[in-house]
Formats: sequence, structure tokens, C-alpha cells
Amino acid sequence: MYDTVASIVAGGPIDDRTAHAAMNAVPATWSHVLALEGCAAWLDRERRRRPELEAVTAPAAALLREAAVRSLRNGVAAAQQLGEILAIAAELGVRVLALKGIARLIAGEPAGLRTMADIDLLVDGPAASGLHERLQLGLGYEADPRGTPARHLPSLARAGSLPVEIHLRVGDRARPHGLEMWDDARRANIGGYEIHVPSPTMRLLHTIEHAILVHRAARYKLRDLLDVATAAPGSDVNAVARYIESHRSHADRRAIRTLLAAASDLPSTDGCPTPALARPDGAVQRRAWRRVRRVARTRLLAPARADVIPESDPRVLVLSQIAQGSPVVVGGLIARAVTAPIRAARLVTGSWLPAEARTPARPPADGGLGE
Amino acid sequence: MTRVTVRPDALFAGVADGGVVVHTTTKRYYSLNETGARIWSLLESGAELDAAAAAVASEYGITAAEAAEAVGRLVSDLLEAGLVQLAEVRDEVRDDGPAAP
Repeated sequence: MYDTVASIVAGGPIDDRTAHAAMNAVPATWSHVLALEGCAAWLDRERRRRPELEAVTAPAAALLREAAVRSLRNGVAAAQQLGEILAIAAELGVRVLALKGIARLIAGEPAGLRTMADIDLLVDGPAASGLHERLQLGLGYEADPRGTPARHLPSLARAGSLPVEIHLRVGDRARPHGLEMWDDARRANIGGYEIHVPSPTMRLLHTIEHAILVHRAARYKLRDLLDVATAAPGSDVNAVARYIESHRSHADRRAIRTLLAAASDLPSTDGCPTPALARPDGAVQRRAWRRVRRVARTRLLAPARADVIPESDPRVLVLSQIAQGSPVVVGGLIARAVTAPIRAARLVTGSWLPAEARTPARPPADGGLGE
Repeated sequence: MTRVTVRPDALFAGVADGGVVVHTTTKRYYSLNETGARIWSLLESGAELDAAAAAVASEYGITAAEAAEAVGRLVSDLLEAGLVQLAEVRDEVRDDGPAAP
């Protein structure tokens, strides 16, 4: 099933055996793969564009369409919310920079191709907490401190709206000089208010950072590969090389190179190849895809559970890390299994779950714009 | 018979007071009011133009002529925007070739 999804994302042919398996898979199997790879909306677009995929993806047709429609609806909701937020930021004189999905939308990517779960904004300096507070007082958002990393303030939630994350910085490590998010940012206008959008190079670096460091425990998702392929056009190859070399960890550098090599094989949003990535030779690219597939297939070994968010499932994360093969990580996991054997056994059997991995009682906010 | 089919580049989502359509190649967004969204849904589900107009007439309490005009006007706009295309539908009559002498 993974091979089918990966082949569709890469725009390549699907061999008969793989296609047969996909056609006969139950929707739950599709759902499991799509939840971990995060590319259902993209697959819906490919399904509409390529009639030969209709039969192969038939069991997942409703799932794919639902993801694409949700993505479009969320994109529309995000634009509306952003207008309100920027009005308050303007009142406060706060400089705001769009990140991730909302940055892609402002940069011209049409809504409906990628999942968009929240609105990520980077706010300049100490003004962040002032804006965070005003959004609660003025627009009715409520701060949810659960699981907040140091790089952003507690997520802001409001019924019927997408959550908003006000970032203080984009990552937990310092960037080399000249590679900061605000460098070369361009200005855009949303509803009469100004917002900054990162340059193509900074968008690509942030995408890489997210895929490799934030998603450290579950790297090489197809969604991340697509994000890199989409962010690559127009970016500066030399800046990317400098960024890679700034990582001290050999494993991180290798992971970034794997991500870039695999992503260079994918089409960008417009269906064009991604020329801005230094295209590796065939052997390097094949090796990268072998690694990507190994990690993805290994994490799929953890069976899906209705009460667990797949991408936060500790079994998925442990399997991913084992497949990534970093000796330090694998050694750490073995050490934890030795020092806390009961917890390790409960993790393996699925009876231990951290709170953040549990499916919320209510579904996440979905734009609130009912049909 | 003429059927209007949604082009692969077009994606529709219902919203509170109608719907929004994005053309993923031109990257243009279009909004539809409640009636327009209903007509889009009928066309997307494979309804022919006459059937879509009849449904609109019945659901909104307007005459058949008014409904046909509303559907025709919207389809014309959608065609111009490249969101739908026309397809001729053949009557489902078996063609067994020339009759035997």
C-alpha cells in the first residue's frame, strides 16, 4: 500500500501487483497509511488528474475527497482568520511573518492540496506575548498550554476556527548568519494588512528543519517530501549547502541529504520537476528512496488503533527511529528498555500511551464552516 | 443530451453560506452562493442540465423556466472560468450493428 501511495506522489507508474493490492485493500488500510504519510489531499488531486488512478484508489476515494475538501475549507478559513489577526497586529504595531501552510498559501499555492491543521505565525521579538494576549481578549481565542514546545507560545484555540500558533523562533537551534527567517522576506497584503512571507530559500530551510528536527522521530513522511519539493523552486542551492554543513550531527546531515535527494524526484505543486534542488545522480537517489521506504514501511508495522493519533503513537515513533538506524538513538532505546522494562513492555503491547497520543474526545477544529 | 462535468483542476467545498471552488492550475478562487453551491453539487453528482434545473425549481419554489435560466447562467460562467466542461451523453441504446438481411 505504501508503494502505491509513494508512486502516485512521485507521479510514476504503479506495477500490476502493487495496484492489485491497493484495489483490494480495505479503506482502513488506506486510512492507516494516509494518516502516517499525510498526503491524502495531494492524492485526491492526482486521482482527479490521472484517470488511470481511478481504479487503484477506488477504496480510498471518499477518504481522499474528504481530505481535499477539508484542506480547501481550512485554507479559506485560515485566510479569514488571518485578516482578523493582522488587524490586531497592526493596532499593536507588531511585525508578523507567515510560516508553513499559511506561507505557502500566501506565496501562491492553491488551497486543497495539502493538509493544514493550524495557522503558524512568527512574531518579531517581545511583542509576541502582547499579540498572544490580545488575540485571547479581542478575538475569543483560548490558550492551550498542553505540549507547548519552547519555540512557540501556547496554541490558541477557538470553536469553529483553526488553532493559531505564535512562534517566538522557528527552531531550537541557532541558524548560521544570513539564514534567518526574516532575511529577504517579502511583504504581502491580506485584507488591507501587511504580512511578511519568507523568501523561497528560507521557506525551504524551515521545511527541512521541520521535517528533520521537529519530526525527528518520524522522518521522511511523504507530506514532508512534497513540502520540500514545493518549497525548492527559486531557492538558493549554496545557502542550502551552508545550512546542511551547519549541523553538527552527522546523522542529521545525512537525514537532510536523504530528504533532499528523495524530494528531488517529486513534482512541485505545478507538476514540474524541482530544478532548484541539486539533482543527485541516480544511485544516490535510489539509495535515498530505499531509506525513505524502509523507515515508512517499518513504522507501518504498528497496527492502527482508533484511540491513538497515528503520528503521535509511541510505537510508530520507536519503529521509525529504529529503522532510521542511528546508533545513538537505537542505543538510547535499548537503554530505556533495560532501565524501565515494564514501561517498555507496555509500550510494545500498546497499553501505555502518553496523553498527547490519545485521540481527542472532540474532533479537531475544522474551520467550522459547515456545509 | 448534454451533461456538464467538473474539470479535474476544480475542487469544491461547501461553506456556511454557499461554496468555494478553487482552480488548482490557475490558482483562482470562486465563491458560489447557496443556490450556486446546490447546482454545483447536482452537476458534480452527474445530474444532467434538465434534471439539475428541475431539482432547483422544486427545492427553491421557482418556475422551471427561472430554474433553467439560473442553471444555464451559472454553467456559462463556470465554463468561462474553466471549472466545468460539456459532454454529450448518448442515449443508452444497444448498437448491434446492421440488421441481418
